[in-house]
Amino acid sequence: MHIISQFLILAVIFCDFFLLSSYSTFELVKFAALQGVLTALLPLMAAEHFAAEGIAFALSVILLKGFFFPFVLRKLIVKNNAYEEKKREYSGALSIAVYLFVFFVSVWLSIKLDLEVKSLSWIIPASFMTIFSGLFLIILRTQTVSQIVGYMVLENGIYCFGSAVFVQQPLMVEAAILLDIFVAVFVMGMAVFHIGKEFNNSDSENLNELREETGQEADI
Amino acid sequence: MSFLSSFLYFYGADNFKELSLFLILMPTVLGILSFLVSSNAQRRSIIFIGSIFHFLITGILVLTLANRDLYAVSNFPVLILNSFSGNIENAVFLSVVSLLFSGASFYSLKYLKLEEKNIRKDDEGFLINDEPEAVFTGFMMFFLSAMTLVCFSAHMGLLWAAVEATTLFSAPLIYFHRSRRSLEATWKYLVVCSVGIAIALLGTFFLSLSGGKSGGSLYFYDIISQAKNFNPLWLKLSFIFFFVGYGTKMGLAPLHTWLPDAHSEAPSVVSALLSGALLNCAFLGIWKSYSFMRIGGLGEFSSSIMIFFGIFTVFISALFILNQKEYKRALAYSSVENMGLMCLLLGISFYVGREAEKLVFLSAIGHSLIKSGMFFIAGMVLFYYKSKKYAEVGPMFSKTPFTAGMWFLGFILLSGAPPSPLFFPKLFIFKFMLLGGKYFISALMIFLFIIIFAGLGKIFYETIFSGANNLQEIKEDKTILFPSLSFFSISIFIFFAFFYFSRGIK
Repeated sequence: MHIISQFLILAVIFCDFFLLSSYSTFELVKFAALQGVLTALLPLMAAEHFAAEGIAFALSVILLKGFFFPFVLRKLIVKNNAYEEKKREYSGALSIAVYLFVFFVSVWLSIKLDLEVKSLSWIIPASFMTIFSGLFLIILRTQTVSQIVGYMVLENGIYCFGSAVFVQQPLMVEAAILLDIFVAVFVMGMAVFHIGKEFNNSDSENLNELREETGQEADI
Repeated sequence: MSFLSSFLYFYGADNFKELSLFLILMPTVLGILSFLVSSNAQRRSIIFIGSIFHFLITGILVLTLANRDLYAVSNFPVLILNSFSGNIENAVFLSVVSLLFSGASFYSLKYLKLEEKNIRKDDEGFLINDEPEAVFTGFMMFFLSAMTLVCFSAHMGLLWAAVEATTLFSAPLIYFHRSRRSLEATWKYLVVCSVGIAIALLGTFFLSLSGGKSGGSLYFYDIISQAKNFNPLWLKLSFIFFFVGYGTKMGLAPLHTWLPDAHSEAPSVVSALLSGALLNCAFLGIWKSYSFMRIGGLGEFSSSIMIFFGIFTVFISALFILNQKEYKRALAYSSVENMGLMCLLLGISFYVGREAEKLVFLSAIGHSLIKSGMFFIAGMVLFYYKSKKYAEVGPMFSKTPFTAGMWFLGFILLSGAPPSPLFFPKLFIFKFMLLGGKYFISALMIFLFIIIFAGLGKIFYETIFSGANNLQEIKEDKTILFPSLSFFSISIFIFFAFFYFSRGIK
């Protein structure tokens, strides 16, 4: 079990790398879904004995993150013809720089915080890396679908952290949090659908009408 | 009162858990119902009757649960509060949410009818095709459910889930007008707030970690009794993450960017609820975290953060109000200012105790009532003059005199001049800084208050006394502004009541 857990954590870290370096939205969705499934499996691998509740919860997370979200997002990509992110000349170098930054900051933070998770040594850096990767996806990508993927990745990281430190919450609260994430992706998906309908593409660069007007601009 | 006491007698004083659950779930059921019924008139009735019913039950619960001793009622942790003892802020915010929603539902009755006939173009010339009313009324009720759940949460995880639910249920309401601008505002609101709230979830986990390396309980009941022994590093980290997360939702600078966009593009009735009720719900998250910090002996650390960001928020709002061209955006920045003031006052409460806490309540209630009333009026101003830019509105004094009078009264109350309940918190902040020898900050605060007054004053003066003046006669609707009038009257009453009972500020 221990080796499998370590393998899963390594896979989560690789997913972060692929997420930050990929500019194909289909690939982003694929890796975010894979990461979601991996993070859902982690608490099961780390547990000493299997509880029915835990298995049922992990299965619902896998169903949601591994199948439902990718299904919705793929539909959105096809509908809005949003297969590729805009790639600039420096995109490749920027991806590597961001990944290295995320990697070193996460490791540094984990050392500083000094959390004893003896059984899974890399789980804390992996969860921080995933959180930062999600944030960077939201900030750096312009496709609204990629920003939803960024939110999913951020949530994967938080889920990973929660399972790493064994935060116990009542099942009802866990279910409420999961339901919120489900509705969040659904509502964001609806918004992207409307953005696509309104502007004929789902690029967030279209959304630039609202800004503070200076006195001169207002006069014009 | 006799009806109330007989109701309580028959119901039994210890069965209020069911009533609380009913209060949370009832709007959800009505929301689903509004998708099922066929006519818009029925939907408006659902929203109106549901909110009045909600207000009545809230009244019963708040009066009954306010004086209950939490420990006598239950000696085990509960997810839903069964007493407001020690959680008075929950009772106050719940009452405000419910009162505001009743006013909003009354306003919606006519507003939705007017919107139905109001075919117009947005700023880019595209026709505005409003959202179906089923979606609007349904999500309004879901939104009420989520806000009620926030006020009843007795577990930090559940509080998080409820605050996130408020974001998700209010997003479709912002997109009611289905214009490009409202779509942009909705997207920004969804992304910024969801990411902010996700950070608060991380704060929730840190709080759990502070109770032990294998994760402590997140029930208020347990945290309050054990916070003294919490790990200070993790507790500090949890506060920072809560502050950033819930602060984003509350509109504290520099995380306030979504707020002016969402408030200006949402229909006015939604802006009123966002500003008056939703921001308070997010503030509740910060308040809870702050009270844990105080029990854990880290009150000074948290209060210094709150004081700094409170002042910074007021500063940013003053900066943007001064050069504002749109009156709804100016009102939104005024909300940012008031959130900053509430944060500042709560921070100050560490040094002066209960007196400042009372003023936080006064500030929260006063702001909610006045700002909601103002957004209701702003909705009608927009309806009459078809522009959000203040230069294109008016002169209201001659064209819509009743609305102009209400608009002016609202401005006086909003600016914090007597008889506004916001007068006392502002005076207190100034006195506290001055008596503490912080002359520069007290001078800065006075300067900022003057800037905000001038910025708002310019907008209100221009809309009331000057303006485009190229419109034909406007048929003014006075009854729709009844909620605004009621809220302003309650605010003035609160001012005099507070003045009478406390004899001003000593």
